Amino acid sequence: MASLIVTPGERIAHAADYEASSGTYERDEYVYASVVGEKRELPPPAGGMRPLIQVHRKKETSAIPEIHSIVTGKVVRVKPREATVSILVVGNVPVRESFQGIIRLQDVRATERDKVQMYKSFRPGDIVRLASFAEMEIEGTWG
Amino acid sequence: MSRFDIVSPEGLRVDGRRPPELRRLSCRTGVFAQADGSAYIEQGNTKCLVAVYGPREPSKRLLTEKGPTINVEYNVASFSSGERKTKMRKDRRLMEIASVIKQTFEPIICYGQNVASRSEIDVNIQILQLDGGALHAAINATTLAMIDAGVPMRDFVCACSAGWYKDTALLDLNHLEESADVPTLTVGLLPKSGKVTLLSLESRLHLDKFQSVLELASQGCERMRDELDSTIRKATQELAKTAL
Repeated sequence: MASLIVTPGERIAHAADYEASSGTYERDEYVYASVVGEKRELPPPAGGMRPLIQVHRKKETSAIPEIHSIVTGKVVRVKPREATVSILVVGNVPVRESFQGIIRLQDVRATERDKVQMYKSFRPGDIVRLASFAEMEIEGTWG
Repeated sequence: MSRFDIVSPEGLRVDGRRPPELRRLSCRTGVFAQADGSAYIEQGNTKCLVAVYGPREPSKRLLTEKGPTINVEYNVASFSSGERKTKMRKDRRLMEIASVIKQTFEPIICYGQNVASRSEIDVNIQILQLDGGALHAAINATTLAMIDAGVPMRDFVCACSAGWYKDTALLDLNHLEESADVPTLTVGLLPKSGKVTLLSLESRLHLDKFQSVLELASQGCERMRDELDSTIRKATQELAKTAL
């Protein structure tokens, strides 16, 4: 158990044998740990050749929305061209401090984008499920 | 000539150490429940407390090109040193030290995977007792607190100071030595790659002496790393025990 715990900057594997995953980084043909935690090996992802290597933190940090993650939030402000959302859940994990997201007018739905009216689509207090597709910009679907 | 010698004829310093010796070091992580990461460090009589909040969403929209923003607040308690000082509202000196610490940590934070590149990390540093080497104590404590907060970093940052007096290089100067015309060099090192992220010298030091002072400070950093590493390992194992 003790030998599995690694600290930042510790060399944990050859980059040729493993693919760097969360909690690690790659430099000069080696994979290094970037957080303190337990070293874990995971089977290669679909289409991948090398197994993944990650460092798993015991103490969980707050979830952070990333690009393409599914988030759930509450509409806090509606403007003619955009709605502001306070993100409460990322995937299945509630965040400790809420993040701000924006639903732009052109991203509300896939068809008839020019006929969307923000006031008819959202009201403050609505709970929405969204796919984030750029940092600080979020594409919306009804939830 | 001062009233006492910085190094006695027997080769001992004012606090009884030999020139290449560090002061007693003790550190602890996870001292606050409220903060995401925190650390407390005691190096001799210098005591420093650090709390790290984040990575979290920036409070104001900051347009940085890449990498998270680090806000450092460096504070020295008014009761920390021999004579009590009334605090000025905007102390240039403290702001300078804060920006030095910010610059030390900026290049070593990994961003992209977990830390969104536009997030913000707040670092609050409080010096509780000042007996020389406040800068390197603050940096070492910040390293521990950052690791405790789970901020991905390329390596530890270990800092240590060294000076030159007469013909010897002195490691880890205390307040008496720092204030007695000993040039003090503070080095921040990434021990694994041997890269230097911080080098600060506030008085003049002859170039011929520089190499040996830098080497001694680097050795101090290496020892500091072992100490910080064992602290982190111990804290993690204790955490693992409570989790099971």
